[in-house]
Amino acid sequence: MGHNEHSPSSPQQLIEQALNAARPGGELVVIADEHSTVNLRWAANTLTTNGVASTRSLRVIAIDRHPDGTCGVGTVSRSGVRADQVAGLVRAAEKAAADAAPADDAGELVTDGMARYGQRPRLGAPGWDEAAASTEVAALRGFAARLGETLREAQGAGRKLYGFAEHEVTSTFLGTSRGLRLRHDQPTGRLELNAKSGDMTRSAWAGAATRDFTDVDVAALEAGLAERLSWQSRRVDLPAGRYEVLLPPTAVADLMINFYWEAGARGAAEGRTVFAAPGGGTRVGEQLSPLPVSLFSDPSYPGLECAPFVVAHASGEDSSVFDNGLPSPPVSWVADGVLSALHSSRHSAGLAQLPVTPPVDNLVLAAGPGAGGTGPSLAEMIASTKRGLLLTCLWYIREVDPQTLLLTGLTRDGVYLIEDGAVTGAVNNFRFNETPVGMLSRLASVGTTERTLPREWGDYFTRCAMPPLRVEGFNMSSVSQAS
Amino acid sequence: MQAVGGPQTYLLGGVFNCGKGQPGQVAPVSHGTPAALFRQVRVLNTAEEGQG
Repeated sequence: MGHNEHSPSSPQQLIEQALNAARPGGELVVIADEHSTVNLRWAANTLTTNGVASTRSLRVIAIDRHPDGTCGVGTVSRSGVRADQVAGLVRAAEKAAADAAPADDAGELVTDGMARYGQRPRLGAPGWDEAAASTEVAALRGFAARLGETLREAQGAGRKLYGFAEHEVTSTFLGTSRGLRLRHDQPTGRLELNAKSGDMTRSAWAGAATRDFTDVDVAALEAGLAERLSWQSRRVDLPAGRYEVLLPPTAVADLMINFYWEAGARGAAEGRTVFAAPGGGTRVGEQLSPLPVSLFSDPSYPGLECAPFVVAHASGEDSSVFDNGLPSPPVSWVADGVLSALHSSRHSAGLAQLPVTPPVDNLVLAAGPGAGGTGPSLAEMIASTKRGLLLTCLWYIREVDPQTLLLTGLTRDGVYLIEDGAVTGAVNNFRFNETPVGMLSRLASVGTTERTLPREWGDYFTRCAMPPLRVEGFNMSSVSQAS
Repeated sequence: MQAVGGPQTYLLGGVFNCGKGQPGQVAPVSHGTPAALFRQVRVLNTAEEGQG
């Protein structure tokens, strides 16, 4: 089908049209996002709803450079833009830039991203001119069939399953007045599965993150939930206090995502975060854990692939629209237990006097030198526990104090007592007050790293691989009546 | 709660981007409240709690 005045323009066409509409000498960054999503929901062992949606947006970022070296930035976004609206969008962005106060992160636009990555950031990745990627109902077809079998099995066993599965694809196209043309296709899938006993008195949760649902073993997840429901046949009430805990990968992910979000260069350099050194500077180079753990991001990590260049829709503390297209290579945030980098824009790296390390949209925690990532399984860690608590997941996590990175939140869907190497019952829920930085200093053992879905932050950050952890002195500050 | 302020203390607060639900949805929300006096509130020493 050829393009005509009635068919929607491609994102690439809209970007070229916007760049061509810039005022003489004006500079633009233009980002087009094409997003599609499909989802499936079930309750009490029955599929209840499904949905399909797609959106497209065009963002024009205009830069108005002044003779004194400063510049204003103006940004305008619109959904479902038609070709005849593009010039108006550019004029609006240029007007906003002319009216804006000088940008503190002003700099030159990136010109070397293309030279470094070419138009194909990864072998086999689609080129600039190829059509935007999308998802459709078929993406969940195989999974839905397997889910149907699992729902029938749960029904037969007297359990009730509830849950939600979602697959989305975002194709992002980035073009600038300096000749940069980069695109990235990002598939994101997640599954949340909740099992309840027939009388609704017991509940257990499991989640999975995936790129395409072919690797989601829903029967295995349900088998794990059935075991957890069986552990809830005995109830034990325990008081608040500090406990040795086993955190499964999903709970570790939620805490380490908070660590990652807070590990920006600017906040540390300005003395506002836990990563600020007393008296000035940052804690980069400081030993945070007695164990040689590594926390890192890698755009090519198998199963967690993400954009290998910066896509900044807006400037923030450690992001800058001027950095759009800047390569974001693999980076270690903690190496062998030592804080080794803080994420930054070129501007915030300069403020902190640290190397430029753009954030990457995935996160991996692994044991051992060189991030080997192998250790005991969670079952083996349970078997080697004298007395402790096994958590399922964490919920409603909020930051209490950035200077210690003290977090508070709740346990959910299962806290279990381990005695002499075996689970002996289910415990009440707790509110916890903990800091992931302090937690790293109290690490007793680290299991095998696996891909996991963070429960609290899974709406925003799904690409994680984490090990189960044994942490001493985990601070359960009060008992929660939630069940 | 020991006391509730008069109408002159009432304030309507809100945000435009409250996110909830599966699939995620965004909606403006608001919540109005008067000033109030509470006693026996547990206060957390964050510096102490955040030590290691």
